[in-house]
Formats: sequence, structure tokens, C-alpha cells
Amino acid sequence: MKKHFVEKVLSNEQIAFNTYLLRFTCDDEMLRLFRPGQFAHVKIPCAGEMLLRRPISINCADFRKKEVHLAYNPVGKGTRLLTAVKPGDLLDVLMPLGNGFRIMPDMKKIWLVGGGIGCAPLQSMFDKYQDKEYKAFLGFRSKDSVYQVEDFKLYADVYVSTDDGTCGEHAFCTQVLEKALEHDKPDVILACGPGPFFRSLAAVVGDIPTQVSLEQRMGCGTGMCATCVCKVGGEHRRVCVEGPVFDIKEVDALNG
Amino acid sequence: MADLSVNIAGVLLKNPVIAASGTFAFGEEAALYMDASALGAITLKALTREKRVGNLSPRIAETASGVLNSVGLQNPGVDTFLEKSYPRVRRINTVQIANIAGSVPEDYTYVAERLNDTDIALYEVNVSCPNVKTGGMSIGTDASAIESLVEQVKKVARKPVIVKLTPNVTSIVEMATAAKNGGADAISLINTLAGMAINPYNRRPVIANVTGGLSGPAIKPVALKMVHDVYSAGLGLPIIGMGGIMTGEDVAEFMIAGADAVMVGTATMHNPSAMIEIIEELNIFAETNAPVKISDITGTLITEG
Repeated sequence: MKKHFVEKVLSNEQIAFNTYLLRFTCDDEMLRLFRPGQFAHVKIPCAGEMLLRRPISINCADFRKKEVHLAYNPVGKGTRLLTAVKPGDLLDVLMPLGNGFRIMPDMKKIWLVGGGIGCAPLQSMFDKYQDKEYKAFLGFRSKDSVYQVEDFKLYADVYVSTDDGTCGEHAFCTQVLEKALEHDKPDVILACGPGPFFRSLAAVVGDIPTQVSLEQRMGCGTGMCATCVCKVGGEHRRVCVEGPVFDIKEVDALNG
Repeated sequence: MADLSVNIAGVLLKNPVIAASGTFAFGEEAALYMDASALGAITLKALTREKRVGNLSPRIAETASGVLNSVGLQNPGVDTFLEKSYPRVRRINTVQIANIAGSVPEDYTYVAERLNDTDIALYEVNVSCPNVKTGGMSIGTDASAIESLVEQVKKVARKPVIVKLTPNVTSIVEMATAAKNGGADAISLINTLAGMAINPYNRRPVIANVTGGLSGPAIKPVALKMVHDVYSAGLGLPIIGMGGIMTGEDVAEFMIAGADAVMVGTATMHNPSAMIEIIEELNIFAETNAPVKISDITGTLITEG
């Protein structure tokens, strides 16, 4: 019904080391509901024995072309099978799921902080909010894992860093952020990345409102099975319907 | 449309497909994906006397044709449920079943008493959760504990009582018999099979609780056999079968094995409108294979000739 679609794959190509971009069609209903930071729950095609969908953040909701882009790392059986999907194939997808980033009218200066595949959902901010003052701090493992930096540059001042120094600054993106915070402060920080990334981020953001997009092993994606919980504000909250975006101050694992 | 209606302990269901407890929350989220009023019934997520925070994450892992989960009965407690969720839940226009869990019999009787004044039609007593330290499966693997618990719940319950059995036992018939002796009005089976998954590269269990409960098509043959065993024992209680049902044909198989109705859980994780498709498929099946009523196929397994 409303959030359950079968869409046609437009392309599915490698865009960086171990990183793929999957593009598929979408309709007006999906675009009407879409908010940056939401995710799609993708059924792995031709894999009936794999019962769980894969939650992948929405990298781009293109309102003009009516298509959705997902960037993903093939890290397990399901996402590895997903790399075999070809243009023209059908994709069964639940979307847009979750709450996305909470953007208030008074948030003018927005800083985006992404680690690796965590850069992908931040990119979708530009689909809805083009008139903000953006800075983007994008961290990657190495030069060959860098992707979409040029797309970020269309709307943001971009600071690229790599763990090994092969591209941009030789640092973690949270260290680059820390230095930038000595001179300037945004109205809000939006961030996504791996576990260690969030801990470094929590240590540098101070009192700046910071929203983080979390991931968790997920079942239904619809809020019904209660398996994808994270401890937020002392409660087990479902990442799929109460997240994936939470205030960093409320995420128990990132405080104390 | 074939006549898909079935009767469970005096409660009429428009079809035999029931949402299984724990995979449908309190029924509210489903509205974005399907019309829950098309279901035979919905079973609410387990309710306990006190709030339960549940187990740590990760709580779920995919296995071959199956899903392993360990949620640990997370729920707000029956009183908060009645105050905050039930006013909306009661408006879902189909039969509602409350799944009742606890650590000791007094927990179960408390929840049953609190729900007596609601429109909930049936109770499902959970003596089969594999993911909690006390209550749940520790009761369901002990015949005398089942009998005693069911007896106590029956004393206070003003709704028919279904007892949900665990497959993690030597004799499912012994447990079903104990439930009957305690006064059960129906039996539902099977809850998940205890299992685990390991990541060989970091030598850690995939789910935080180490072990969990296995569901999905991987367990369907086990579930069918247990339904067949309980039906063949001739206890005379209605049976609600479950375990890996993904299609209308799967429903028919469980009914032929002896089930009066079925519950569907894991399929909903795979596809939120799976139960609607299953009912449509069952209707097509019934038109040719059960021309009068779907309930006519219950227990019609042919083993001779």
C-alpha cells in the first residue's frame, strides 16, 4: 500500500572501492513523504531463502527525474547479492521509512559530518533544503573509497579527509570538524558513520545540537517486530520508526 | 469467495489467518501497509504485569530460510498498554487476542484480570518464550507447571484461554495434554525453536543474548509434525498452528495436519502485507479443494493407500 513499492532498477554501479550506487524509479507518493535522513528497506531479489530486507539510507530522492538513489557497501551475503541487480530488474522496497533529520526554519548553518558510507544519507539534505549554509566534513578510509565529493561541492564547503592521507587531510573527519569548531559554530550538526566515529563526534560537538543517524540489525522495518532497538534516553527505542535519527545527547552509548 | 470462516473456542474468525504475537506489535503500525481488518484475528505483542525493557541489541539474525530473534518480551506493561495504546487498538476491526506472559503465575493472572473488561476476545498464555530467564519456556517445558499455571489463569480469565506451546520439549503431546488438564480452551504451536548464530571471524554470537528463537520456513516441517502429533492425540481442543507459513498452501498444509487456524509471523517481516496475500491464496485454494468450507480440511491428512 502506501509505503510498499515495486520499482524498476535504472542502474547499479560501483562508484568507489567496495561502494555501489543503486538507482531506481519512484512515484509521487514516495517523494511526497520523503524527508532527508530516511531509509529504504530493500528485499534482496531472487533470494527467497533470505527473509530479512536490508535497510539502506536514501542517498538521493530526485524530485525532477523521479528516482531514488541508494549508496551501499556490499559487506554481507545480502548486499553482495544486491550488486548483481541489473537495470530493468524489479526491486521490492519499503520507503521512505523512519523519521529523518529534524530541520527547523531557524537552522541556517548546517554542518554535515559523514564517515565512509555514512556520507550517503547526508547528501539527501540537498534534495529538500538547498538554501542553507552548508559545510561538509567527509571522511574516507583511503583515496579509492572517496565518492560523491563533487556532488557535495554543489551546495557545501567540503573538507575531505582520509585515514591514510591519500586524499585530502590525513585525519579523521571528526578531527577536521574539531578544528573548524574553534573558529565557527553551526546551528546544527547532522552526522552518520560507523560506531567509533560517533564516539569521537560526541567528544567534540559540545553543546551544538547534533543529530545522528544510527543503524542496527533490523527485522521488519515497520515498527512491528521490535528487534532494531538502541538505548536512547534510557529506553529501548526502535531505530526503524523512532529513528534512525536521534539527538546525540540522548543516545546512551554516546554519553558517559 | 469461499467460506474461510473458522471457530476457535466459540470465537468466530472470518478466516483462519491470525497475526502471530511479537511480529505485529499492537497492530497500529500495519495500517501503512495493509488492512488489518481483513485478518482473521490479530495477536498483540506479549503483555506482562510490569514494563519489560527487553534484551540488548543486536536482537535479530538471518539464518538459512529462517530468522533468529531475541527481543525478550519488551513491552510497556499491561497498565500502560491499557491507558495509552488500547483506546486505539480496540478500534482495529477484527478479533483481538492478548498474549500474556510473566515470570510467576501471579504475573499471568494479574494481566488476565486487567484485560477482562476489554473487548479482547481471547487470551494466549505464553509458556514458550525462549528469550527470558524466568517464566516463558521454563514453564512450557514442565508439564506440571503448565497445568498449574493454566488452572490459575482459567480461574480468573473471563475469555477463552489458548496455551502457546514451545517445541523445545521431548513430547509436545505431553505438554498439550497438561494444558488441557489445566483447562485450556485451545492450543497454539509452535513458538520458536531455540537456536544460535555465530560469526566465525570474530567468534562472537550474532545476537547479544547469545541464543534466540528460530522462526521462518526453516522450522515449518518441525511445526507441521508437532501439529500432526497433537491433533492425532485426540485431545479435542482447537489447534492454532504456526511455523514458517509464507503462502496459502502452507496454511492448507497446517490445517490438513490438524490445525483449525494458523498464525503468521516471520512472513510479515519479509513482506508487511504477506498475510493479505496468504488469505487471497487460501481463498483460491479453497474454491477447488474445500468447496463448502475451509474448516472441512482440518485433520484430513491421508496416510493410507
